This record gives sequence, structure tokens and C-alpha cells, in this order.
Amino acid sequence: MFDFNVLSLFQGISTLVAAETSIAIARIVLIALGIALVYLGAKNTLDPLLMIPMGFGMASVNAAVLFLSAGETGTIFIDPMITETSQLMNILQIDFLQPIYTFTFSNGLIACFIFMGIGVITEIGYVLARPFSSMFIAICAELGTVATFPVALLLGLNYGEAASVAMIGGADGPMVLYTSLILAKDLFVPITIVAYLYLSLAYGGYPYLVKLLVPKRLRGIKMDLTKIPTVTKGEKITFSIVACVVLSLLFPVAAPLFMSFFLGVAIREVGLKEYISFIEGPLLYGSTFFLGLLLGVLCEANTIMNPKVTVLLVLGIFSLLLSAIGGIIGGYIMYYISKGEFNPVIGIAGVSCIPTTAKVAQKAVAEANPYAIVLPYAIGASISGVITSAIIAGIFVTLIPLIK
Amino acid sequence: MISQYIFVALTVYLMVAVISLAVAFLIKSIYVGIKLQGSLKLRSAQLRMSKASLQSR
Repeated sequence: MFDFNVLSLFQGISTLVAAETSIAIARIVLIALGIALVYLGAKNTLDPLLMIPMGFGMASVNAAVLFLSAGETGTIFIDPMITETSQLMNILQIDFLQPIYTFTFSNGLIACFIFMGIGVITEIGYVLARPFSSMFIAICAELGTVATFPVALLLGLNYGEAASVAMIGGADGPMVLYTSLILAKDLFVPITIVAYLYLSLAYGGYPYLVKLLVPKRLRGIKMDLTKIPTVTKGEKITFSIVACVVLSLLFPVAAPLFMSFFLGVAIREVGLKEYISFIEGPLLYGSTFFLGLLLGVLCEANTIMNPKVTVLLVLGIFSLLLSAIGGIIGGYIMYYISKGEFNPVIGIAGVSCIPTTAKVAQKAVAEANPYAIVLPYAIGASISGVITSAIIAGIFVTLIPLIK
Repeated sequence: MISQYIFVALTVYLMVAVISLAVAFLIKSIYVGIKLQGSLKLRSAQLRMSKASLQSR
């Protein structure tokens, strides 16, 4: 007679039983969290575009653990820790999401696609019209990034890891991905997951923060839209190419992101309809979908059970919270400089995360005063936030190897 | 050690602020430059037209 265990037929369950208690609990928690993300995404509490694929990926990857060769456990979704080229070639033929991970995620290409999409949907004229106020707010909204950096060092992270986790305060997912890829390769998976998770939470949490920090009377301030000068298409196209070249000259490390963003802007302004519909449709939504799915799949218990993850979770929320407060402080400073004509809520839009924070600002303002429109100013601050995030990423990537 | 960390963070913030404001200045300069070039082109076109109209008389 042979020894037969019914559980061995269902490897997802047998690996759960055979796993260490902490890993088994983590798997169950992550499955529950995945289901919760799908639910919250479907209810629009969190950003559904990212959360639904992410939740599905997270729940299914933690359920689908099986025995691989030599009694090791793993999945046939993805292996983010692979480094050997020969192993990678094998894995590419087995793990079904590995090609997308290797060829778009781990080299930052997916971030560039998203930036291109953002460029195509962005009206750059608002930044051109009021660059100083927009940039000032964006600088204030980098408070979280700068303040988190020394705190992370004090909590035991090295310079590269501290800089990468601090970048969460810039609220720019692709930039966090990019910085952590260069400065903290070992932690880039958990850092990126924490970043995107919190960026989605910002969508749900920032409106409450705005209500807490800005009284209704100030939230309802109407901005004078007639003060925004008209910017022609030619001016925007010229600006996009000049700014791309200059910023790439200053920060070559962030050049792929600059090029992607300003190329998107130029395509929009030239009016290349075929490219616009491709980039703002299949490319942007396809990239967002696969980004969400990959982030979910990367949340496998063994990957995420890094002791540093708890520290990252704390630092991530600290960073985003401080950046939002910094942005609103910037909004208040502009309010006093303009003698009450500037709506301080626009400050929250300085926390990059384009166009989410701009939409949060407009929504908060419209709730206080349905006739107040701040979206053009908020978009300007948001775009400036992208630029300051790229600048700070460029500084970190250039400076940290020198400190090491 | 703490003071060194804070010093590095403040240096980074200062660099971000200076570079960002320089970028804002650059944006403004490009914008003003483009506007100026546009108005110069318009002015020279007006001059050409008025010259042509004078010659035709």
C-alpha cells in the first residue's frame, strides 16, 4: 500500500499546513487584505483602477503556493528575487507574469509608460502660466520626503533605503519605483508596494485631512480664473522640448521619466489623435492594470515578510502625512501673500500624485462652495509636484552613492 | 549622528528648493521668451504689411 495524504492533492492547503506559523498567518492575512482591496476598490473608497487588479493578485498569489523542486515552496506567478541569467531564462518559461515583470517593471519601463500617459492627459499651460506659486507649493509639499529621510536613518535603514522610502512623500509611484530600483534593490519590492498602497489610501484619506486643517470658510474661496493667461499650443510644444532637454541635462538619471512625460505633453499639444488615443487608452490603462496586478502578485508572504516592512509601513504613512501638511502650509502661505485671494486647499495638490490630489482639492472646495473652481491651479501645483519629485529623486540618486 | 542626518536632509531640501525655483524661473523665461518672439513676429508682419500697402500707393 502506498502512503496517501488527501491534502497533497490540494497543494495550496498542504503548503499552508506545512508552512511556519508566521508565514501561514501572513498568507491568510494577505488573502483577506486582497479581498478587502477588491471590495474597497469596487466601492470607490480606494482607487479602483489600481486596487482591483492588485487585490486579485494579492489574494490569488497567496492562495496558490505549491511545492516546487526539492521540497521548496513557491508560485508559478513570478519570482522577483531572481538574479542569475540562466535561472531567469528558466523562470521566464514557467512563471506566467515573469516576462512582464522582467521586461517592464524591474527596469522602470512601466513607470515611463504611465508618465507618458500622464503627459498626454496633462494641461501644461497651468504651470507655464503661474510657475512660481505652483513650484513654491510643490517645494512645501516635499516636507514629508525630506523629514522622513533622517527618521528612516535613525530607525536603522541605510542611506539608499532611507532615501527610497522617503520618496513615498513625493507621492509619485513611478519615482519611488525608480529610486528604490537604483538605491535599494533588495527592498524595492516592499517599498514600491507600500508606496502604491498608501498612494491609493491618499485618495480616500486626504479629503479628511483637508477638512481637518482648512476651515470651511477658507475652503470655499473662489479663485479668479480670468487671471490665468492663455498659452498657445506652439508655446506649450516649445516649452515641452526645451524643459525636457534642460531637465535631462541637469538630472540624467531621471531623463527617461522626463522624456516620457514631456513627449506625452508634446503629442497632446500637436494633436496626434492616433497616438493620443493609443497612449491615453491602451498604454496608460494597460500599464496601470499590469502595475496593479504585479504589485498584488509581489505581495507574496515570503517576499513581504521582511522585518523591515513594518518600518516601511510606518515611514510611508509618516512621509505622506507630512507632505500633505507641508503642502497645506504652502497653501496658507500663498493665502497670506495674496491677501486672502488664494485658496489654501490647493496646497494639497502639491503632493504630486497627478491628477488624484488635484481632484481631491477640487472636490473638497466644491463641497464647501459649489461655485468655486480651483482645478486649473491645482493641476499646476500637481505638475510642479512631479517636477520637484523628479528633482529630489535626481539629488538622492546622485548624492547617496557619494555619502556611502 | 542625528545632527549629521538632519544636516544631510536640510542640505537636500535646500538643493531641492533652489533647483525648483531655478526651474520655475526657467519656465517663466521660456514662457516670456516665446511670448516675446511671438509678439516680435507679429510686429514684423505688421510692418511688412504696412510697407507693402505704402508701396502699392
